[in-house]
Formats: sequence, C-alpha cells, structure tokens
Amino acid sequence: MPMKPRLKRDLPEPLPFDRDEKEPSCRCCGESMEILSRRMFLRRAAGSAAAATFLSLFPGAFFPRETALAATNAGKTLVVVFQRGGNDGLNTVVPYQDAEYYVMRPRATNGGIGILPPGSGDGAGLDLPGTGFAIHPSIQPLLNLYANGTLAVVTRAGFAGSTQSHFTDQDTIERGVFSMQDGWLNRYLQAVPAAGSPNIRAAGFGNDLADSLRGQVLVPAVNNLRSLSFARLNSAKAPLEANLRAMYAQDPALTTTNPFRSLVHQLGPDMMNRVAAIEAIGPAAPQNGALYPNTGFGTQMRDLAHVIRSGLGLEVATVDIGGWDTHEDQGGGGTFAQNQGGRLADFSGGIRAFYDDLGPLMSNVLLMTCTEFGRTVRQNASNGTDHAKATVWFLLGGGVKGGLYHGTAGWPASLIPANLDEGRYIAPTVEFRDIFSDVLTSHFGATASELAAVLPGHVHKPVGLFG
Amino acid sequence: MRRDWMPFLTDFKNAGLVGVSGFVLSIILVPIAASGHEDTGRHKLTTAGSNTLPTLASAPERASQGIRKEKQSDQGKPERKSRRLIKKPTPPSQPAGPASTLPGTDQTATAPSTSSSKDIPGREKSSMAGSPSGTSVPSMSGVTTVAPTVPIPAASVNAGAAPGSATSPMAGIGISSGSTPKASGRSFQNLIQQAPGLSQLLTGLPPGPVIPPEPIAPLPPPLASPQPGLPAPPVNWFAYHVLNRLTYGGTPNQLNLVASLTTAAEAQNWATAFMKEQLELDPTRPWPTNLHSTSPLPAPIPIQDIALDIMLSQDKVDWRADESDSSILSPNFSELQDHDLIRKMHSRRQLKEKMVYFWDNHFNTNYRTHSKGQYELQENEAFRARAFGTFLDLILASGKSAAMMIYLNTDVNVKENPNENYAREVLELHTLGVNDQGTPNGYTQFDIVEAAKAFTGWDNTPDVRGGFRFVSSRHSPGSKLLLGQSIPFNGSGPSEGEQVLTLAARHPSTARHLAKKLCEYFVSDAPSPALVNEIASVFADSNGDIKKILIAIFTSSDFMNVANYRGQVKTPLEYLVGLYRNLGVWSSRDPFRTRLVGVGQSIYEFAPPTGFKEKSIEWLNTNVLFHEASMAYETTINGFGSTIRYGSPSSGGSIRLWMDELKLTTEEQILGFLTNLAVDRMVTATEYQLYLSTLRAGLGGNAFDIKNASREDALDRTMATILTNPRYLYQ
Repeated sequence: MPMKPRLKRDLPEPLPFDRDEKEPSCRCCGESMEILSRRMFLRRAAGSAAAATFLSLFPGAFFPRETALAATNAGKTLVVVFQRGGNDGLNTVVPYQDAEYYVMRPRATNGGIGILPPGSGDGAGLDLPGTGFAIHPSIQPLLNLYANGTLAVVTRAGFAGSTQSHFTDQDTIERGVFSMQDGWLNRYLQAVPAAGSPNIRAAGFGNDLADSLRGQVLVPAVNNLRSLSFARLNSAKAPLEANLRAMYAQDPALTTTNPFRSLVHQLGPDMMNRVAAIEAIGPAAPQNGALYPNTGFGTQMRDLAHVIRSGLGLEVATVDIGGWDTHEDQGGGGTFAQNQGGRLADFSGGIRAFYDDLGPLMSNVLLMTCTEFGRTVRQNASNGTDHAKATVWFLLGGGVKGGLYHGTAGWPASLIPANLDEGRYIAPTVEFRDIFSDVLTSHFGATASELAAVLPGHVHKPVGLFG
Repeated sequence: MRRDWMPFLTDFKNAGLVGVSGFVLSIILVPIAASGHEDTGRHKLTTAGSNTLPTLASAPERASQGIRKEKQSDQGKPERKSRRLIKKPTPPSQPAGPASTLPGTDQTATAPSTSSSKDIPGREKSSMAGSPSGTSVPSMSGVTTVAPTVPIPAASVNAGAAPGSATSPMAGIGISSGSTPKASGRSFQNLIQQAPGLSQLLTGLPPGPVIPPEPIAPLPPPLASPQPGLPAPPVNWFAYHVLNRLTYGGTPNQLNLVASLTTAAEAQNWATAFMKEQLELDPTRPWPTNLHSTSPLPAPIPIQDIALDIMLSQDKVDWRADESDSSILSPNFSELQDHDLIRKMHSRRQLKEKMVYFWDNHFNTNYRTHSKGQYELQENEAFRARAFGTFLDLILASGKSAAMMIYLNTDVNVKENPNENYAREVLELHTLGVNDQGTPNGYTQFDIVEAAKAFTGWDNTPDVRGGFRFVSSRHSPGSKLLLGQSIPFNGSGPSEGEQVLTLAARHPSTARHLAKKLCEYFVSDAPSPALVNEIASVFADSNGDIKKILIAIFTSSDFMNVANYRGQVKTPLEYLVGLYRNLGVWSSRDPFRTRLVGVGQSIYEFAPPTGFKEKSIEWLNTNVLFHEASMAYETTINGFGSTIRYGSPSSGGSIRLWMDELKLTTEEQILGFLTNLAVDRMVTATEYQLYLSTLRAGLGGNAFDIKNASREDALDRTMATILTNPRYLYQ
C-alpha cells in the first residue's frame, strides 16, 4: 500500500477563481472561537431541523454493531496519526550527548544536519532533562506535554523484517499482520462491539481512507467538514437525496453485474448518512484558545477535535501527514531547518492545538503517531537521510504514562557502526504490535480473545505505556 | 467563470484570415446552434461565438444565455479572467533556445524542427506528425509556440474533402450506417464538402492521411419503460465498452452514434474501426499479426485534432515566464493541471491521452518537489510522444527528465554517497516490481546499491530548461553488477545508468509487472492469469512495443467478454473528465479541478512514487462518492457550483432549451437521449419511474411540455438523478 497523498493545501471548495499558488502559511486559523460545549451542542443539535430530519429518516442507520453492554471502550477515542514517508527519529529525539551522533551528522553550524546541543543558540535542541536527549526545536509545542507527563516517546519503534520499502512497511504496520487483508483498526471495529450507538464510530481524515481502517466494516473518509455538505442544493436537496436513496435502495444484484455492486450500494447510503451527521454538527469551533496551523493537517486535526466533542461517538480516527521522506535537504533546527523542520512544526503544532482544544476530554482520547521506518544514522551527501529501521513514535493523552521508552535493550551507548544494525540503522527494540496491544488492552480494555482477533499470532509483550 | 476563447478568434485575425474566419463563423454559428449534437470540435467553435461574440450569436442563443444569468452571478465575484477578452496576440515565436536536451535524447543533438518553434524530439516519429506542426505543441525547450495558423477546428476539416479521398484508406470509415446528419444541409462539414479545397485554403496544409472526425449521428430512439429485473446489456454493448475503456468517455455525438448501432455486428465493426483509429492504425485493414515479434507495425495514421491544438495554444496565453529565464514559459500549478484537463476532456486522441496518464502515473513525479511547471509539462510531452512507443524509450525519457531526477534525487546521487532513492523505485515500481507478498520480483538490496552507483553523475543542466547532462566527476568508479550482469565502467557518459534501465526493462519480471498493470487498467481489476501471461509474452517478444501490447489486449477474448462490460469503477479523474465529455461541457472546468484535489486525485502533486492506484477498491469510499455526486450536482443544479454549462452552446447551458433544440419533446424521447449520455440506456423499472416522476414533478394532471419553463428545474434534477445513479460510477 502506498503512502497517502500529502495534503499540500487546505482547499475548501469551491475556489473557482483561485489560479494562484497557495502555499501553507502558519497563521492561526480564522474560525470563530465560539464556545460550544458538548452539552450545548447536543441541545442545539436535537432542536435543529437538520438533526431531527436526520434522526427520523435514518434511525439506526449507523448502528450495525449496537450492543446493550457498555464495554470499557465507552467514551474512548483513539487517534492514529501516520507520518507517511518515514520520519527521521534521530533528529526528532536527539541523543546529543553521544559524540558519535555529531560524527554521523555534523552540526548544522558545520553544514550538516546535526541538531545542536541544548543551550547552544540557534538550532539547538530542547532538553529533556536528565535523559541525555533533546527534542528538535521545531517540536517545541510538545515540550510541555512531555514535562507534564502526558507524552510518551518510544525511541526505537519498529519491527524485525522491515523491508525499508515505504509501501510494504506501511502495509505491515497498517494491517498489523502483513498477510491479513483488513487493516488492524478495521479488525478492531469488527472484534470489539461499540459501546452505545455511535453515529460515526470511525473515520479516516483525509482524501483517502487509511489502510488501517479498510476492511469489512465501512468507515467513512472525511476530507473537510465544511465542504462535506449538500446544503447548497437548496430546494433540490430533498428530492435529489430522495432519488439518490431510492436508487441505492435497489437490490444491487438487480441493477448491475459490476463486482463492486454490493459495496457501492452500502457505501452510497452510508455516505449520505455521514454527510447528514456532519451537516448537523456545523463547523468546527476550537476551544481553550487552541491555535491550529492553517495547513491540511491542522485543519483535519481541528475537524477531528470537533467531531470528538460533538458526541457522534467517534472511537477510532486516522489522520495522515506526509512529507517525511527526507532524502535531501533535511536540514537542522532553528534557522537551519529545511524539509524536516517544516513538517515537524506542522505536525507538533497540530497535535498541540488538538490537545489544547479538547482540554479535559483528552483523558479519554489517546493520540498515537506512527511512521513506517526511521532513517540512516549517517547523513547522505544530499544533506538528507535514507530509509532505515527503528524510529520515534509518540503517544499522548488517555492513560498514557509519559517518558522515554527505549525498550528492554535500552539506547545504544554510542552510535558507532558496531552498535548499529548492518552498521547503518538503529535496530528496533519496541515491536509496533506491542504498542498496539498496549493501546488495545489498556485504552479500550480489549480482552485476550479480542486482542487475538485484531493481531492474530502475536504474543503481547507489554511495553508498559500505561500507568 | 466561463472560459473565454476570444483570443482564439483574435488569432485568426492575426493570421490574416479575418475575412475567411468571419465568414466561416457566421455560417457555422446558426446551423450548429440549431443542431446541438455535434462533436467536440464544433462545440468549441460555437463556444467561442456564444461566449465572446454576442453580436454573432443567434437570437435563440442570446435568449438562452439569459436563462441562466443568475447562475453567473451566484458567486458574486468578478468574471474570472476577463483579461482573456482583451485582444492579446499570441506571443511571437521566440528565438530558438539551446539545443533541446530532452529526456531520452542525445543531449548534443538538435531536434529536427519543421516550424519556427522547437519541436519536441521524437515528435517526428510520433503520431502527431501529420497534424499541423505550427500549432500549439507545447514546446519542450520552453520556447513559446507560434500562433495557430489553422482557424478551423479539426471537426471541420474532413479528409474526405481532400483530393484523392476516394482512394484514401480512410474512405468509408467511421459509421457505416449512413446516418444523415440532422442539419446536414447546413453543417460546416457539408460546407467543406461542397467547396473542395477550402480546407486546404484555410489550413495551408497538404492533404495527408489522417483520421477524420466522426460524422454527426442521429438521435437515439425514445426509451420505453423496461421490464422489471436486472437490465440486460444492450445489444451494442461492445461499442459502449470500447468508449468506456479506450476513452475518458464518449461525447454526446459519439454516444448517439453508438446508440444508432442496432446489431451486435454493427457495434463490433464500429468498435473495431474505432479502436484501430485510436491506435493510429488503418481501420480498413485487418489487425496486425506480428505482435510476438520486433518487426515494425505500419506507419501511424494520426488523428487530426486541430481544434484541441488551438485550444491548448490559447490556454497558454496567461502563462508567465520562468522567474530565472524569461524565454521559458512556466505554467503555475493550477495552469499545469488545467492544461492537462483541457487535453483530456477535448482531445480526439483519447486512447493516447489515457496512455499518457498511465505513463505519467507509472513514472510518478511531484511538482511540489521542484515547482517548475515546465518540468512536468516536458515530461508529460515526452510520454505523449512515446505513448505508443517502446517501454525502454519511455523509461529512458522518465529517468532523464528533470522532474524525475529532482523527485527521486538522481540529481544529488554522487559517488561519495550514492542516493538510492531512484534506484530503489525503478526496480520496485517502474520495472521488476514486488509480488503480492511485497517480496521483490528478482532483485535485491545489492542491486539497488549497484544501480544507484551506475546512476551517479546523472544530473539536470544548471539552467531551468530541464535538460539532461552527465557529470563525470560525480560518477562512481568501477564496473557495476546488476541482476547478475556486469555493467562496464564508463566515466564519460550516462551509458551505465542507461544499461541499468535497459536490463531492468528487458527483465521477464518487468514484462509481467507491466502486463498486469495494463490489463488492470484496460480489462479488469482481476485479469485472468492467461491474459496476463499472453500480454507479458507480447511484451517480452516485442521488446516492450506498447502499441503491440495494446492491440493484444484489445483483441483478447477477455477484453471482449461481456462480463467485463461496466465491470470497473472509474477513478475520480475518469469520473470528472468523463462527466465533461459525456455531457459536452463547454464552460469552465475550474470548480472541478478543486474537486479533484478534494477527492484525492490531484494530478502532478501526488507524493508517493507509486502513483495513484487504479483499482476500483482504492476509490470506493464515502469521500470519493460524496465528491463525485457533488460534481454531478455542480454540473446540473443551479446554485450548487452553478458555473458549469453543457449541451449545445447555443442553448446557453439550459438543458430544457437543448432538448427543445433537438426536438426532443416527449418524456420517452428525452429519457432515451439523457440515459444514453450516462448509462448506455440501461435503466431498471424503478429508475425509469424515478426519472419519469422527476421529469414530471409538479405537473399534476397536465401534459409534459418542453416549452414550459417550469420544466427547467425538472430537467436539471432528472439529469442530476441519472448522473448520480450508482451505475454511472462504473466503466
């Protein structure tokens, strides 16, 4: 499976007049800061004609897996952010006390991509006190979260048998088990019943549905909340939607021989239901002064927070952020930042705004970041890095216990080639399926049999990410 | 919002043809406006008139423009591109740039040039050789194009008018049923036929063997209420199938033509001739039989497409010069996308455009990595020139293109520290590929490292023209070992990298990989192993001759199997371009370009080197279905987008006036016509009643009357309903 397309711009449609290049700028979003609590929302939504129509037209439309029993997944949400392209963990969380690091990656002040030690001025890393590590200055928004104990940093995440191909490694991670057809999150939705009656139990934020969410359970892809509406049909809306439903309501076997007919006839009404639900919650209104980057990623995190707060029952969501394949001009920190620094700023800014926006709700929301592999310890001649193995994953919120997780083998004493896998790579010590298993059992309360259904054949060796 | 083609007219004047073009236009506008179902070429010409020359517009046309006036003002924004109304001569041809340094060509060679602009190398062997070379071919070396010298749309210049047409191999091709154009006495084609030599007078071109446009087709018959149950494929399904697969969608005239084929044999004959035309083969001759060999195919017979050439050249008038070299036209990103979409929507060389997309996607690059419109354009042109050529030629063009060398870091791959990016993707994605388990098909990490070394020294020229050069000081020493074969050291030229590409292109895994991908593109998401084996063996035996491979695919029993009819799901790009073609959209495409971004198929900026996925399952999700339904609504429903016009330009975008023009007055006639545009007239009993009740909404007991303005909304909604039928998602 491929990496997902990178959203270069936030393009609410229609912009028919715009012929000029629009590059992302980092001014904060211009959305109204109207405060709308969850309770107020529910009251408002219940009183709105749209919601009433929606609920009366499609009672139970969304609830194929409804169950009377409240499981421990009640009210919980998991957000999986995938950094497509292989983020360089070594410059994200930097072992600045290892002299060998600066041999492999000369300091940015010397023309390399090495992140300078904390306190050394422009381009210096931000210290994680007492650890020997510093974070890239572009992820400064995450520093407080580390300090307050809500951010867990897995420094050597990965898996044995990485092919170092973007596509197969992403497939492996997203399916959990490469040979399985469905994504691991979809298998979760199959294996564990929803608590209550969610309108939108799972959603992929982006143009395209992440592979982790693909499978038997239909999951909507949500690109941009504002654009996802048929409201502008005005007087034609009701008759056209009725026609559309009538066509999709036909027995697919009596309309076509196309092999995808059953799926299409499920997806059509599903699309209409999701659109109706999203029309009913209105536009995002960030709270607590949250400032999202005005980028595709920032907008999707903003919309995601809005959906979570709006009480549609969102339990699993994915967001993609691309641009991590830094074979060249990766850059350092501060004014030395190039390709990676810009992506990290967007990434950390969006995550921090999401955290701020949800405020106390974050106790039930767990955010996990994944990326398919890290990058070569030694920088290449193009001031970049090539595909490698272990890398940094973050977990934030929920019941996560903050801190650095190097795995049982610890962090290499030095990055000399002898300590590296094939002399080039940091070897993985924390198997990604164990991270998934920690999340499934601790955050969602999955039972052993449910865990086995999601990750068949995997023996869970707890990482201990939860307190 | 509307696309104005005024400069198109202005150029006629510049070309000193004002009298003639005025004459032609004034004659053509009325009859075409009245007949309303011409092929694309004519639409363009009448569009020019109706959009920009109100004084030339016929009275009904002016009236119809008023109908949708509110549509235009909905956006409350100024008319976009009003600058197009300003007379702006096409830039004169610039002094020739440096010798072309095009991908895949000898960098020291000067491209043969038959006009004052630099032609693209390889073009002389391309199918476009017979089209007027003075028009609008995007110049690969960045030199601006010459003004179009041919004021007549392709549609109008029929080879039949040329002396010797009786003996032309093309005589009698196209439709054989002798359909009589409705407006025959007044059509421009007819005019040309009545005045032999006029086309040559206007074009200055010698009459060459070309594929002429199809004739004007009769309207489809009325549609009666179908029986309950699964609708059977129509008897002429194969003709629809060929349009669905070899093109981005039939135009109204092409679809009318297909609807007029009343037997399977007629459909088969028409479809076979159409496939041959699209492959630039003589449609009167049998299929070539030398597919499993390297012996050459007959010389290509190009498809004439002057209207498109003019349109594309006009599209460039807003392009600005590159910031660092004023002699190079550098489209910005939206211009780049627009240019390609115009081509896909309006080109008569549809199969070629489908192949150009295939190659551009197979050898994916990303504008965002270099931000030079000319690089992507240049690469796209190189694929167009080689679309039916050999695989080796294509991969050499790709590998040496500026866009690819920047995208996959060839330009920074140096001996001290080879960058493996391009080497890896060439083997994993462009040639040998990986199997379903993700295991490489016959290469190893060692091969990647060796290939990366062989490519060291490949680089762009330092200017922004996108030329290729070899920098020997960066080239890795020693011989290389790839796929078990030794590649001798060569420090003075790019031959090592070329040998890597040659060895990879000739590898049996590559034949299989490409065969499978092409079968998935044209036949089925799950092509039979027998078909893939056969196509792979044609690939191997012909040394990757793409045209032979396509012939083998289109003549295979799998392709001709009705089980594959409408068996695939359109990609969003196919849906979008198809919608435009099926309805004969003649106004702006801009809102749709934005939809293409929203739906996740924004061409030229896809980051992963895999390119966009082609298989149906990849594009079946709620986001895609939402945006595709929205595209249908934007085309049809006032206020939902509201800027798209289709049908005949003379009806101003009003479907009711269009139906009225075509004298389609009963519900059955209208449904017969409209369902043919979208779903091959296949309708279930439920759908028929739905369409009928939408068409008759609000009428109560009154009779349906196309003259009644209340049917405006009803027709809009009927068209919207037909287009949002799930069956319209299939191809």
